[in-house]
Amino acid sequence: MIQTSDRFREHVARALTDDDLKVALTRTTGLLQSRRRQVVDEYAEYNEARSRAAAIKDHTLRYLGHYLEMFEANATTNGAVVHWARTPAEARRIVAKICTDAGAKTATRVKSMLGEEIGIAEALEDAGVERIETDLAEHIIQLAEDPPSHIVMPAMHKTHEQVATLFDDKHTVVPDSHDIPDLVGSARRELRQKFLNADVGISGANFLIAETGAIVTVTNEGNSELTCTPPKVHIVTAGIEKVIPGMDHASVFLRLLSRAAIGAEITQYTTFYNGPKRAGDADGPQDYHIVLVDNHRTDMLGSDLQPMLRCIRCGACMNHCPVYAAVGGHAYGAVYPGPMGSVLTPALSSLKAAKDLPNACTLNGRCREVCPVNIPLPDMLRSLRARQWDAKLASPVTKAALATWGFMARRPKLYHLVTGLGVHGLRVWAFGRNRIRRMPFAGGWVKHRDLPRPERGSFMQQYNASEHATRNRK
Amino acid sequence: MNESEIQKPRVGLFVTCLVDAMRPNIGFASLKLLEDAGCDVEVPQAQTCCGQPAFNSGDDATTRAIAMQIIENFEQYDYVVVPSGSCASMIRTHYKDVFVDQPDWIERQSALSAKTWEILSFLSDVMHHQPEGIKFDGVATYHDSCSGLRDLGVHDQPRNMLAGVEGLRLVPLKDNDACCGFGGTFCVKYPDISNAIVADKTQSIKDTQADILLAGDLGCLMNMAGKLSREGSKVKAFHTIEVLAGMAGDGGICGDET
Amino acid sequence: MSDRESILGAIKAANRSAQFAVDQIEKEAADLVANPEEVQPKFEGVSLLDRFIAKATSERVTATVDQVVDMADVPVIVSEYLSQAAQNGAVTVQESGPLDEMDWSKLNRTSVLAEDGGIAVTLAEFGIAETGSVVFRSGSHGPILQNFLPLYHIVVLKASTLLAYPEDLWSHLGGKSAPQSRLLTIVTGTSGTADIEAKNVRGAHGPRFMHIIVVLD
Repeated sequence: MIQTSDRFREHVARALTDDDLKVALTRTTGLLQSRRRQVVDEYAEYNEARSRAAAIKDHTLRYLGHYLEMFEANATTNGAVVHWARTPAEARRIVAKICTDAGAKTATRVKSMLGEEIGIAEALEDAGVERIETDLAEHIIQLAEDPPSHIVMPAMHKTHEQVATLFDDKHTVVPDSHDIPDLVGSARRELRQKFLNADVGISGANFLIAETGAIVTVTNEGNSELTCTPPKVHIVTAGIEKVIPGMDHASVFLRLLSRAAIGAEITQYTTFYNGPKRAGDADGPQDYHIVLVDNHRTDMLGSDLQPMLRCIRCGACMNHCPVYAAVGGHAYGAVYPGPMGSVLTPALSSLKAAKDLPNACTLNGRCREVCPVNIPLPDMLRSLRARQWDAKLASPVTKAALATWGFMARRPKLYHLVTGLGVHGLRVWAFGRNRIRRMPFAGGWVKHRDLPRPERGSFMQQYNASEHATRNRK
Repeated sequence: MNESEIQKPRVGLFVTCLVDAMRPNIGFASLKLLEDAGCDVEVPQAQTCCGQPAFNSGDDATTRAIAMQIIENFEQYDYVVVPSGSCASMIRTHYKDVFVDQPDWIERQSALSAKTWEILSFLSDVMHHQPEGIKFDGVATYHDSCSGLRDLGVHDQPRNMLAGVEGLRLVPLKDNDACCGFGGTFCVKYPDISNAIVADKTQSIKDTQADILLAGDLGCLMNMAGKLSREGSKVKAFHTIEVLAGMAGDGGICGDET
Repeated sequence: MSDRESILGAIKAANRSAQFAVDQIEKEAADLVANPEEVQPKFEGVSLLDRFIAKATSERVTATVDQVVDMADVPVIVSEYLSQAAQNGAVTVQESGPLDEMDWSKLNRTSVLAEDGGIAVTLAEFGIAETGSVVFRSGSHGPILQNFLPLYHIVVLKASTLLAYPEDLWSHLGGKSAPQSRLLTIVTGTSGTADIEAKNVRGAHGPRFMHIIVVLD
């Protein structure tokens, strides 16, 4: 996916006038919030699980090299071929080569945001392999030629009416009706043969278990197992921050992930893959590859952005973000949208390329409140703003305004004088009316809102003229 | 009897830049209630801004300079009280982030942060003060401002105190804890997104059919009241403290001066 | 320098970690999960079986459950379930283990696993009461796909293999150094998706119907 975060404002302008998008977002975010709320309220041990999960991630990140080497050794013993890729380009090269060596013509895919990050679609195209997305949402956006708009529900931006039109147009056999269950049934029908005939199956991994060398996928549909079992080759791509020590540690995260993501205690399929087909197995792939990807994670390690590496990709933050709810995921122009995307995108690309993302946030803090691994998202967004400031990326207007503000704020007498004048000026500007509807230099405000007419004098002016002040001055 | 061990606590009132310019009545209401509660209140002259606009824009140097001024001028008091969740939180929760590399200031900053309070929670949790004999007829709905709620845990205190006001009925606001879209500089940097968020908020407010909107932060109130006004709504908006002090007599924020 | 070396080198530099003792790391890791009961939802005096059934039949899981005392009665229960569901198609039964030798004469048994729309009867190795889940592993006892391809999945579960929590499963399987199968799956109810407008639909790619027959052994 080509990142277009530098055109955030353009995307936002379009999104705010998109009525279908508004319908889609309204239909979904409220449901996701209430489902999560309910299942979290039922889980008495929730806060303990959260702190424990955050502590496990912090521990693992502290000894990341040790755990990655342990994972590699155990996975290799299991029969996996483990590859390392510093960059997306290298990861693509590895995936393309595996496919070419296997003489692959088709590849089924289980949704993986890391796969998006490294550009798997490009890798498969280069290797002349037909890419078949199998998650319902990924299937939808593949047909629509859209990028994903949410990390758990990539087709959140589509209404079911839009999906119906798409399937009528693109499915070999049209859906039985436009009801959502029949749309799902149509996708099931469309993809069944493709699962069974694919040459390569590509998945991500929700977790990498160092002690056993297992990878874990957490899914609902059954497409993970249908992707990773029939083909001759199974390829896993995963970020290096996905590793955790052992199975008992995994159990802590598994209790949090689906609760936070979709409001379920557990998803339908929690599957541990331990290698290729063994002697005697009735089915399974012959070859099994794991590609471990860095892509700037080592840059985040040891920095003020390190907590971001705890992320288990649940999507709760964006489900609760008022900005995401207003503009949708595509506005961010990146693989990861919403609050976590606003931290990751600058980290994975550059401060400049994703300039708006850390700033288009009210710092309201709901994201931090719902994060199952206690990532201090607002703090990191502010940190990124401080980095932007130091890198002189702030707009000249902001810099000038703050310089003036800062100058005055440090000089109380001057500040009070100017404020008093300003208050008087605003009162005059109001022309005797109670509300101000138009104001030069305040276009951003008065475009959509009125301003109150101030009182006769600032607080400090009125106070200093009062009896209380006279008494206190003694 | 208040929780503070001090007989008559000395309070430094920090009114905030928005209250100073746009709604001094909130400052006077704060002063009145603090004195009613038994505090000895002073208004230091050297107060301007808490530094939040600079902090949220990433300008740590300016933030620090402003913070040093606040520390110098307010550290002499037993408590610093602020009629705003976001400004109180700036001092209480976030000042530590700008003094990371200043070991000689950290102790002073830490002491000041620890005794800085948002006003409703101060009156309720420290002074155990409930205003008496306050009458205000109307149906009100309450919006929980984000910093006050999430950083400082301000939730029950305003509701408990408002319950003691005769004639006032509170009705719940749908998504009362959802952001109103103000976000300080956010609302002027991204006005159209802010508008989409506040439009949802004003719809929820209108759906309650309340005639009053209450909250604890002037920024949020100006944002919501400004939008309600633009939409032609007759809902009046006040800061909770104005109602509790019996000083909510005019048309409210963005309302008519009676 | 290989990518592997470059990544491990970058990690070392970022963590500024001095030489650490492996047994110290292991102890820290073990301490982090030493008290699993602190994160396990409590059953509140309910038996494992009752908890399992309550969860399995809940709206979030949507399996149906039957109980039988004698393992030999399983085929009868299967017949009854399928006739109630008006399903008279061919049925595959796991071709090794206790299920294989039972009397399936009343049903149209086939050894051809249908690509879709089929009915399969398999034996779960374990059940997990916390979530109403059943556990399958790949191996020589049958294709693992037999649990994913059918439309109707009938699961036979021995009550004696019910465990409370997944942590119990790991220790039951022998811990980290125990030999593993290629695939181990914890299955909780019927396949589903909420990808369209967050509406929950059953039967995405996996089974749309799951009937669990608990043998009270």
